Parts: sequence; structure tokens; C-alpha cells
Amino acid sequence: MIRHYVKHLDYLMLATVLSISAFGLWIMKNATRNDPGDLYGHQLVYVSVGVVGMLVVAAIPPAWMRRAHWPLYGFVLVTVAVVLAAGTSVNGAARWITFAGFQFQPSEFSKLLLIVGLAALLASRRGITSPGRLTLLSLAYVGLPAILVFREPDFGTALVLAAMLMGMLFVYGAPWRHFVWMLLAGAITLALIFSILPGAGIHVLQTYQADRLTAFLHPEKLDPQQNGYNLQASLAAVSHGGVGGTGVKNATQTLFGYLPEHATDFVFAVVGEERGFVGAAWLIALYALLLWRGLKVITKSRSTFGSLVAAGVVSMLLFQITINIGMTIGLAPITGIPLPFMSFGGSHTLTNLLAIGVLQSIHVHAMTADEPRMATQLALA
Amino acid sequence: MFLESPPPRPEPAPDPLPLAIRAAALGIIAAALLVVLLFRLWALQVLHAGQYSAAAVQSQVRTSVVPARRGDIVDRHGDVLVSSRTAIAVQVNSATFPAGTNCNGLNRHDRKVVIDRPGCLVLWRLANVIKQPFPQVWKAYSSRLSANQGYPITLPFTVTRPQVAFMLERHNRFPAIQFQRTFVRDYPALDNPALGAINPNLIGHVGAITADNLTDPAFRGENLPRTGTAGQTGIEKSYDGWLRGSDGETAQMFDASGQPVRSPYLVREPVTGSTVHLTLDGHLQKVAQDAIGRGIQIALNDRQYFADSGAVVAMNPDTGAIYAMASYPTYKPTVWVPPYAGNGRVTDPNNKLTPQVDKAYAGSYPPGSTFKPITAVAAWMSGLIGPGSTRACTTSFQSPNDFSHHTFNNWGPVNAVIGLSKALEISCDTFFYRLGDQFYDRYQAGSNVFQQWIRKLGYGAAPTVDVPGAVSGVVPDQHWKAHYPPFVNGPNPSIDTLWEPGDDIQMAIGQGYLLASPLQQAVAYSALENGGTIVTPHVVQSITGSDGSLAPGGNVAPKPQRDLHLPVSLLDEIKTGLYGATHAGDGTSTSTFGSFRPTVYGKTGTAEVPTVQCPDCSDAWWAGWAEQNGRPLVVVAMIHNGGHGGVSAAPVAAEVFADFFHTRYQFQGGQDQSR
Repeated sequence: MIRHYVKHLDYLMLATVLSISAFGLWIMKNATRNDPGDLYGHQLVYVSVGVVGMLVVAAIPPAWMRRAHWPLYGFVLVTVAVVLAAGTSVNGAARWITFAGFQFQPSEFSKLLLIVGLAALLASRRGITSPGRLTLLSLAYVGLPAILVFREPDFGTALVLAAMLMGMLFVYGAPWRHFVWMLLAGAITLALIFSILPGAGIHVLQTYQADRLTAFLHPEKLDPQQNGYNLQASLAAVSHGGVGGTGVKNATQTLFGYLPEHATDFVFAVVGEERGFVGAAWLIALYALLLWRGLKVITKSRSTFGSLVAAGVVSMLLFQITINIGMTIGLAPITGIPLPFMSFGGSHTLTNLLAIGVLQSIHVHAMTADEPRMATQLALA
Repeated sequence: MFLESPPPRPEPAPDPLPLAIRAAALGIIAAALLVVLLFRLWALQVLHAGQYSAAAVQSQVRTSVVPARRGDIVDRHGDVLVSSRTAIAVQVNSATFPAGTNCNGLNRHDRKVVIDRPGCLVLWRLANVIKQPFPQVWKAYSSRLSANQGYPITLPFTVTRPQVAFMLERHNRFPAIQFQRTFVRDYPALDNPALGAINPNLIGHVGAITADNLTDPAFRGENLPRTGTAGQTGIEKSYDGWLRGSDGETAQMFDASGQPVRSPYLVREPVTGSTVHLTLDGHLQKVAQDAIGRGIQIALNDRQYFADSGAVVAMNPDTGAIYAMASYPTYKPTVWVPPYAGNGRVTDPNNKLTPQVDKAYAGSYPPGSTFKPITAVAAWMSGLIGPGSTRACTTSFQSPNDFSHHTFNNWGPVNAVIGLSKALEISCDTFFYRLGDQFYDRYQAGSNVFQQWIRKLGYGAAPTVDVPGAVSGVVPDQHWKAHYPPFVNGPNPSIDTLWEPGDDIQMAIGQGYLLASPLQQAVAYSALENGGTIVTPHVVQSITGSDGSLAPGGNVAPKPQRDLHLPVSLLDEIKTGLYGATHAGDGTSTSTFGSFRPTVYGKTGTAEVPTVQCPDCSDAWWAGWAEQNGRPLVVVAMIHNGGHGGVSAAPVAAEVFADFFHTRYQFQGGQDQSR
């Protein structure tokens, strides 16, 4: 068993994840040298625990996860509801539960658990429930926790859940029409939220939230005191890096406090400043490599469940990477989505590493004999 | 039913082909998104690198001024008259000082009130440490605040190293107080007995730049900074552009909370100002200054109890270079540098002696008999007299033009017909009254030829000397009288504004409404000496860089104003007359110059300046020249309320000549034969 496990781990994926995590730790160490507290030390612990957890989860057969998916779903709903009811607030957002001295974010874990749950749901009803009903079912399954998360308020995670859903449905093979309907519904919702309802006096989003989201559309008009400051500072830091970066010592935007959230949301701007285009492109290349390995798992997996889980993980990672990096360079709204394996934070670091662990589990068990033999897969490139 | 969990059974294998395609499609989407990100990064970091960061970085760096050392002022022999020494100035950083601070009306006893106003408390503590009155410290800050909001404001106080240490050790009690190395003016010549006199008005002083400075045309082309100092008077002002050098700059990086990080670095080195070389002779200046004091003493001994001020001008008549220009009373220029000892007395508006008004070039007085040679020039050049002309020198004169039949008296009992040189020798008033009366005839015929020639000799207009503040004096004419406010608004404007014979008659002997400064007299007498050229008086001869080499444009050699083409016969006759005035038995300053070497030619003047307190007061004048070994010198001396020119003014001039020509002279009062 163990030999089989060791033989069939995707070592390229493992190496890529470890590289990104190590790079993230290195950046964190330098960027937070002037900050109070020991962010680097904490992150080191989170990454270490996460790596161990990843390797452990990689050994868990996917079938076990699949069997537990309803209890896991219940766990998600309960914890997210608890956050809403009695959560600890940070920066005006109640997203955390404090338990036994630790703070953890249920919304982060919910992402992984919902991937597993939805994959199980879709896999088990394939050919049984009609595609239309299945799509609706998926919407409800993800939508319920998503709305709870949105009310925390954690708009970013709600969006990630939506992206996961889309990715999984797409790989599952939902008909094109469904996507058209869903995108239409999404556009109407956006219009409702941003223009129509406010016009009627109903504000779904607070003004500051709406401003934050739309700030990236007009960076020049920004008052440094208000919402646009983060974006301006981020652009300044990235631009400061130039081709080769300023190096750690001259990273004035990061070191002297001009770049807010430089350990969390805007850690990519630190990469941009310290390592320049070369460093930033290198990181993106690493992410691309990781995503490719994830995509390979989709096709390598012998079960629908496995493929769907992989699709969900890939979608989740892709969405987070794209939105976070895009946010730092002015292409995406500011939504508080962390950069996987780079941003500071225990809950999401753990979640993302465990998600890789799940990918590895599927990869490992795609080769086992005790899964029903399936037709040969066409591997990607 | 919808959500029933069906029994787990192996589900059909995922359809491979479409799965692979869908996975590939997802991959393509992923690739496209990442490529978009890369393009944007390329634009930000390679194509337009620094575009967004330039403005941000710039605002995180603050620059501060490194003051430049001001240039020295040296005399014609290279002796340093004005130098600089380093000092520590105290500044209030208005960017971090509590806004809206108001300490009006508070003094150092109002501690209870001051405690409640954080800004006032800091200034109050500062005043205690630097031992300055609290209201003055507040005024120094508040008066400069509006022009310098958001910048460090330099207060006009210097502090000692112990005081700086004291405040830095307690910096939380002195927030927003910082210190800057600065330069203040130093006057090494004052300690040198051979040199120790500086004309403080002529040299000028340096002070904090005011709002008026910024719009003053004198500083045009200089681009004055808003903070800092500039020359406010004298040579310091007129040559400020050369003297100030250019300040350097250091930059300091700050973090987001406003704390300085890293060390400041030099952006630009300061450039020391150029050295200004004066035409003045430091030693001669001291001799002249002391001589006036002695002249006043002579006047006081001569029962001229109102003698209180005076001036001397010693000038090269060929070039206009001024060798000495002294004014009495004087004061030490150190009143303008910390600790400002004596400043109050000098700047007191109730100080009737007005020490800040230089009597040599910024004061004007009736020239009296020293003006007679000028009348002679005017008369000769307008054809009233010529070679061999004579006039009656009677004891009195009445003008046929004068309906009031006023009697104009001569001062002495002569009664003869004399020529011009004799008239100058004995200073006969009635000779010149007759010329004045003839000028009145000319006026009635429509010609102001008298005033024209007076003005050609430089009176009535400020001399183009290179220090600010030279006055123009007054050359009265009908137009002047018609617009003179005390006449226009007086009880009898129709009479008072008329130009009358007495006006020309009085002007002919240097009285009436005529006013001139000693500098103007020096320029006129230089023309008599040098053959008729009106030179441009100047106190600076060259400007060198701090390394000693001549600065571009630094050779100050102003051209003469005009050539009057005075005939040799006229100048000879005047010279003969002035020789007689200093050597003949009836000469008015023979007692002083009779046996003086080299030969001195000059004229005394006793100009009546009656006041209510002193109806018999006169200004004592002496003006003339001498020459030896090709070096000529014109000297004009004046003692205000000094009585007779030959008694108190002539010895002053003699002392100056003696020092210049290195001859021996025993200072003593002249004999009272002068007018």
C-alpha cells in the first residue's frame, strides 16, 4: 500500500506546490520584516502542518471522502451559520470562529468540502436525474452555503464557490444552454445589485463594498484616502519593480508601509516589487504548471467523482489566482481573495494544501486496481 | 425524492473524448487568463516601468535645504570686512506643529493659559530655553506661518549647543522643534583697530526673507526661495544675487506613518557665494568715521550745541570709485546678528538721529556756499559770465525783479567789483545773488537754464550708485513749487506756488529749497576736478568666485554718465578760486589747508538751517580735492548743525586727505573766517 502510494504520487505537482510555498515563505519573511508580530513564523507553521496534512489526505482513498460527503455538507452549513450568528469580526467582517484559542475561517474549508460534496452528488446522479434538474440541484447545493457566506460578508469566497460550480458543471458536461442561462442570471444579478436596486433605494451591498469592487475600473479618479488607495499602492509597488525587481532592500513601497495588506491580499505586489517582471512571470509559470498537473488528473481519474473533484480544485485555484493577481494589477475588482500558497493565513493555506492532497489522492488511486476498471482515458498533452 | 441518496453503485465511466476535450477547454481558458495577466504585467513592469511608482516614490521623499555659505565682502586691499560664521537656527516644523495654535496676547506669566494650548506650551518652553520673550517667539512663528504653511519655519534665533542638547533630550516636550545649521554674518574687521569701522547702512544687513522681498524689483531675476535670508539693505541687498551662492539639498525617505527611514543623502552640494570686492579702503573709512566725531566735538566747542550728525564722502574723481563713505551717528552691524544687542535703539522709530538713514547718500541738506562753483558753471555755460567777467560784491543786494524789494545780505563787509575766482575765494554772496537774479530774467523769458545745468551736474536725481537708498535731493523750479503740497494746501497757495526772484537768488548760493546729499556734491566736484565728466559713483569694483578667480560679469567698472564739455577757461578760473579759498589770506579754509601738502583746492559752506529750537543753526560743509603722484581724491565733509564749514567741516576733510596722502596733519578746529 505504502509503496504503491509512494510510487504513484504526482511528484511534479508536489514539487511545484512545495516550490510555490517555499517562495511564498521567502517573500513573506522579507516583506514582513518591519511588521509587528511574527507573521513569517506563523505562516511557517501553517505551511508545515498543511504539507503534512496534504500527504496524509493523499493517502485517503477518494471513496472514503465520497461516503462522508453528506456529513461534511452538514458541517459546512453549521459552521457557516455559526459564523453568521456568533463570529469574530476582523476589519469589519465576521468570518472567523474562535475555538480553543485558534481562529479558523469556515468559509475557506467550505470550498474544499463543497467540491467533494458536489462531485459526489453529480457523480452519483449521473444518468439518473435529468441534466436540467441536476443543474438546479447543484445551484441549490452550492447556493445555500454561498448565500450564507455572502452575508458574512465574504463576497470573494462566494464568487469562488460560483466559479467552482461553473467549472465542475462544465467538466461534468452540463449542456451549453445551462451556462447561457446561468451567465444571464449572473449578469442580471449584477445589474440588480449595482444599479437597479440601489436606484430603488435597496442596497444589497454597502456603498463601500460597491466602491471597492468598481474601483479598478477607474484608477485615475481615486482619492488616496479612500478605496482606491490599495490599488494605487499596489500599482506603484508592482511598477516600481521594473524588469528585475528592486531587491529586498530597495522595496520601499513594501518595507515602509506604503503597500497595505502586503502579507495577505497584495502579496503578489510584493513579488512584483522585489522580484520584478522576471519573478512575477516565474511565479505565474509555476502556477500554470500546477494547474496543468491538476488538469491531467481530470483526465487520468478513473471515476466521474475523481474528475469532478479535480475540476473543482482546478477551477477554485484558477479563479483565486486570476482574481488575486488581477486585483493587484488593476484588472479585477478588489475582493479579498488570497493568493494560494502565498498569502498569509492559516485557514486558506491549509485548505489549498489539503485540496492538493485530494488531487494527489485521486491521482494515486487512479492507478489502483480496486477501482472498477474503466475504459482507457485519453491523457492531456 | 429529489434528494434521496440512491444506493451506491459503480457509475458509468466518464465519456473519455468529450472529457478530455472539456478538460482541454478548461486548460485553454486557464492559459488565456494567465496570458492576460502576463501581458498586463509586461505593460506595468517593462513597457511603462516606474510610471505608477514615480509619483508615489516622489511623495515619500522629502527634501530639505542645505544653506549655502554667503560670500565675503572685502575692501580694496582684500581685508575682510564681512564674513560668515556657522550657527544653529531653531525651526518649528509647521507640518507637525498643532494647527490653529493661537497665543496672541499671552506672555510668560500666563502659564495656566498656556498649558491648555499644546502649541503655545511648546513655544513657551522654547522661549524659556533660548531666553527670548515668549511673545516675540510667538510673533516670529505666527508672522511667518502663512507664507510657509507645511514647511519648517526658521525662527530668527540662534541657539547654543547646550540648548540644543537640552531640547533634544526632551524631544517629547519639544515636538516639531528642529534645528538647522545655518550661517550668520560675522564682522572680523570690527576687532581690528586699523580697520574697525564699517558703515552698517552702506554694507547692509541680512534678514529673513519677507513677503515684500518676493515682489521687490531689486531681487528680480534672483528667484528667491520662500524661506531663508536675503540682504535687506546696502551692498548685501544690491549684490545679494552674487553673495548668496546657491543652497544645496538633502533628501530623506519617510515611511507611511511619517517616520524618517534610512539616512538623509545629499542631492546637491551647496555653492558658497561670490566674494564682493569693494572700492572702499577699510582704514580710510575708519579715519573718516572718527573724523566726523571729532568734527562734531569741534562744533560743540564752537558753541554749536545742536551739532549731532554728519557725513564724509571720499571718492576718486576720475573713476567714481568711492574710497570712504561714512555717516554719523553709526552703529555696529552686529545689531543685525544674534544676539541682536543694541537692535532696539537702532530700529526705534522715535530715535531722532535716525542712524539707519545714511547721511552721506540717503540724507539731503542745503549745500550752502559749496554750491557756488556749480552756480558759476551754470552761469558760464549759459553765457551770463565769461573770461574776465566781473560783478559787484556789495554788502547787500536788491533785485529789480523783486516787488517786495527784499534785501539780500552778504556775510562779509566787502564792497568791490571782483571776478569769479575772487568771488569763490572770499565766498561773496552778492556776486552770486546777481547771477541768480539774471537766471530769474532767463526764467521770465521762458528758460529754466539754471536748473538744467544744476541737473547736468547730477543734482536733483539720485546718483546711480550701486547701493539702494540714494536720495535725489531737490532742485526746485516753478513746477516743483506749484505742486509742493505744503504750498498747494497752505494758507496762500496762489502766492506760495509762484516762482519768485528770491528762489533763484537763494539757489545761487546753495540755499532756498535746494537740497543735496554729500554724495551728489562729490560727483559734482569730481566733474570740476576731472575736466567736466560726470562719473558713476560705485562702491564695488569686482566680484570673484570663492576660489579667487574673477566671476563672469564680475568686473564692475561703470562708465561715466556724461561729458559736460566744460571749457578749460572756466575750470581754471574755478580752480584758481578754490586755491585762493584754501591758501589766500582771505580764503575761507586757509587756516586748515594753507600749509597742507599736497595742495588742496576746496570750498567751505555754511548753510543756514534754522529751526524753532535753533534759529541760528547752520550745516557746516567742505568740498574739494587734492592730487599727488597721479592719485587724485575728492572729499566732501558735512556736519549737520555744525556751524561754520571752515571751523568744523574743513578739519574733517583734512584728516581724510592726510591719511590718504600719508601726510602729517594736526587735527584742530579751523579759524572762524568761513562762509
